[in-house]
Amino acid sequence: MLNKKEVEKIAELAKIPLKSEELSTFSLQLPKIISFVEKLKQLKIKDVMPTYQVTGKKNELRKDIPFRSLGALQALQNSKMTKDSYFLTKGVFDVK
Amino acid sequence: MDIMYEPVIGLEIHIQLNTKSKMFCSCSNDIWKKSPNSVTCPTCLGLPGALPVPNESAIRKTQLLGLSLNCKLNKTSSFARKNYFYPDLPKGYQITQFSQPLCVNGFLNTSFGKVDIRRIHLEEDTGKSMHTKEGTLLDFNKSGVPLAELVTEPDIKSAEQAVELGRKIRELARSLGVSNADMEKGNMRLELNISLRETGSQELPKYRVEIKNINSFRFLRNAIVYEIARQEKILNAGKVVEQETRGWNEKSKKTVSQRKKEEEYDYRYFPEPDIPQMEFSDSYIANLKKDLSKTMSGKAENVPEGFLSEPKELKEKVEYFITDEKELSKIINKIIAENPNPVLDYKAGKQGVLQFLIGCVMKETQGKADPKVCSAIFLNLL
Amino acid sequence: MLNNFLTIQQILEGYKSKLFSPKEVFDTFYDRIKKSDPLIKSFITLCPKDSLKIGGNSVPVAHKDIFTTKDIKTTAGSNILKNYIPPYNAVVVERLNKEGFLSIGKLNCDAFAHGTTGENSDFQITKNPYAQDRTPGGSSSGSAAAVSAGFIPVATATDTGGSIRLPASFTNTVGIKPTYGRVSRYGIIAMTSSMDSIGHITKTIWDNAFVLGITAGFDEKDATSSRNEKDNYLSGIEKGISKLKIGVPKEYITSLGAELKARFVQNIKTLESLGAEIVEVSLPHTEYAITAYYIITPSEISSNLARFDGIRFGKTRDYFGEEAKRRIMMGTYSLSAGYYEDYYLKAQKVRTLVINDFKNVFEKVDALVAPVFPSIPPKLGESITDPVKMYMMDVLTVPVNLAGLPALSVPGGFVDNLPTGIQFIGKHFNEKLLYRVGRAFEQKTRYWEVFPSHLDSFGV
Repeated sequence: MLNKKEVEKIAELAKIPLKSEELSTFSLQLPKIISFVEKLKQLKIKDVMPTYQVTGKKNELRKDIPFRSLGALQALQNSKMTKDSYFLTKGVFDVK
Repeated sequence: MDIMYEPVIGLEIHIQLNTKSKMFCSCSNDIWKKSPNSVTCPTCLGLPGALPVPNESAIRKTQLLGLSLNCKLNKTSSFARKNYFYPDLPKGYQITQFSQPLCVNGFLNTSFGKVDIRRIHLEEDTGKSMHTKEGTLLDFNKSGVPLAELVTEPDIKSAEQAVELGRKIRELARSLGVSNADMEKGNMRLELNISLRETGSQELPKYRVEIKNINSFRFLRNAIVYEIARQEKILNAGKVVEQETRGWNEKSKKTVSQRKKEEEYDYRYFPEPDIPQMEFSDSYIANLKKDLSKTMSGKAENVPEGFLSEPKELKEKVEYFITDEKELSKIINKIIAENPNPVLDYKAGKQGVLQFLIGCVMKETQGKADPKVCSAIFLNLL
Repeated sequence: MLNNFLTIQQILEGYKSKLFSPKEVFDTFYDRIKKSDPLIKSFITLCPKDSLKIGGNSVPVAHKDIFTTKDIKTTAGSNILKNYIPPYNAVVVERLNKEGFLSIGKLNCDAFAHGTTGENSDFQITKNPYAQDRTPGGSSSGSAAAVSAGFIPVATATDTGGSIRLPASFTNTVGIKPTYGRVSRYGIIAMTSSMDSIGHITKTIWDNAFVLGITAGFDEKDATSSRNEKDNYLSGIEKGISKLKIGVPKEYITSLGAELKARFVQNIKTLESLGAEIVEVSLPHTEYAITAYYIITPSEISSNLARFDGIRFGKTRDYFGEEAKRRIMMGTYSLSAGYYEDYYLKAQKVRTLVINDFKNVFEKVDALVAPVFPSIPPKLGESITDPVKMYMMDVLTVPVNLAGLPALSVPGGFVDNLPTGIQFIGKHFNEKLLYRVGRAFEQKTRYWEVFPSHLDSFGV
């Protein structure tokens, strides 16, 4: 089960800023959702192969031929802050 | 009395492949000196709705590199998402390989011995970020460039061996025509993991220090030499070396702490749902091997040791200056006199001490001695 | 003024026999939208009519707002993309444009397609044209409502866990969830990459099959799109269903309320009267499908929404709505170290079991028939407070998504004057058979001709 501290950790990992009311709400709701999906635990299926892709496709590869790019103007058109064709951010992120 | 330590080093080498287009989109891969964000598209910009399609040439080049390093090519291979946040990572995840890389279990011979290669996998590069007073400037031209990541086992025992390995791989990448491997242009980037253990011990040390920001072989050598000394000092003081990430600072000629590694970041790897698995037939792999021998036979001089075809004499590309036996013997005798205990250990059977002694000679000669000649002289004298 | 419930088929025939012009058709729909959409609230963005190049065989279409449209604001129903103008078109939008389907606007949906009632949209709540105090279904709420209300003859939509079939069944419209990979996902804002299915909603089966003929087909920009040749979905559509074996999965009937069950039984009788052989079948892992779905979906969502950092586009992550935040956190939890094996990996194993259930069943029958929702369309405000209750609404639709199968939701008749639907499920890439079944059923029952009575409708 999840306590508030663990919910905070998840929110930090997911970079979701939470107000204190939201932290409380999610601390109540997430355990309920986890209980709901925990039904899976009943199944003993160690030897079943997982299916990550239903298409069964293999080797969908692209030929190494360059095409025209968008162009800086279009690339930047939705950004709030730019400088000399660069995106600019003052955001603080964790170092990778 | 000080315990003798030997370095345990593993290298991680990122090689930008010289394909014509990027890894997962058709943007041109020729981004050198292009104006910021001019070589981008919805896919490498990470715009909502965009999808990745892998470049077949990038896959091939990685496999050629793997074959030339005696790797086994996995018949089934897949991409995975490595999830983390950083401004230069537009999707908030990097498409890389996790459990099924393209190449595994290779090796490369160096004059100091064999170095095993754990894996070579394929991934996309991030954008470029520049920190200024106003904030971080981002250019996504580099985002999506194909990278082959080569990881060695921690078999490397000295700075010299690391440099030799790095140089050989660079030459190999160039001979194969898979990368320009120009470190100044960022085509090839090095990272290393380094720790110390008691000389002669077979166990892996319980900690690792990661060193980043190494842009040249000179930095590589200097960083290793510095780091060995730094760690030695800590261990001899009876303390524990902190597990962390450090960066090489060329100005101060030191490694500098960047981030504590006590808790590994949780990348939440999972198989990339947007890209179907790759399966390589026996005939495909056989053709690759054929192409490889064709490529390498025309460049006999550059064939490194350890390549599958008949072993040829390696053309020394490493610039060692002092090869004169007389001159080196003088220095070596001095080192032997100054290190009675290591010599005793070596004579008692601790083979690994030889590396330490050669290292002393290198320190003494500021890296200019030829380690092969030193090795021969030591073996003669001891 | 023309009948605003014109179908695509009627429009194209009208052009051919010069009964009316494209301009008149567009005028009709635009007038209708201006008059009645303030009540229904299906459009987020309506393009100015004079910005369109109307001519030839132009037919109006509108897109669920998770379809990127070049130079037309695309919000995904979320505040985080309130002002986002994409620099490119989704492949489906391009393909439709090429065939004369002009985008007249963008349709409301649950933010990022997370929802079952449309109430998770950050902007507005779309009403059911048949009863404005009830939900039109979600997440493609605007798409279903707009077609149902006669605002457009076709709307694009997506179905990841039932988001086309559910709203279609609540609004007396036809919704196709094609086989996963049949239609390109390039340019569709991703929710669950391994399940997002790109479809559309129309009034009739013919219209629906016609449009799939345009959108379906391999796309080199989407590595998961199928290289199987697309069918001619209209040919043989009148063949009927005599001697066809249609299975009824028994696990799907148990949750039905009494009235819905009676309706369903009636519909089965209709199929039998058309010559089909009805067989009871079993899909034993049905009860686990919904739990697997609600692990896989948030997991992939948590990764797909990581690109929203406010740097290259959109607002910062605090602008995510509540449901998006909830799913991102649930997904982050399922993928995190120590939990991956118990949740994500295990869910993908359950997926294999669900796929095998369907495989086994399709060896005995040609298609399946099932209800879409256990009761009548809920009232607005009823389900929104309890996330788990909301998730359970998908129980009859998600197994199909896990397996990537095609499914067609067709009007199934009325209960308490409210629409219900019936879904036909087929083998992979067998949309052609589904249309054949749907057409026979539609021609017999003619439920689609009961237009919403509250809104003005013009007789044919």
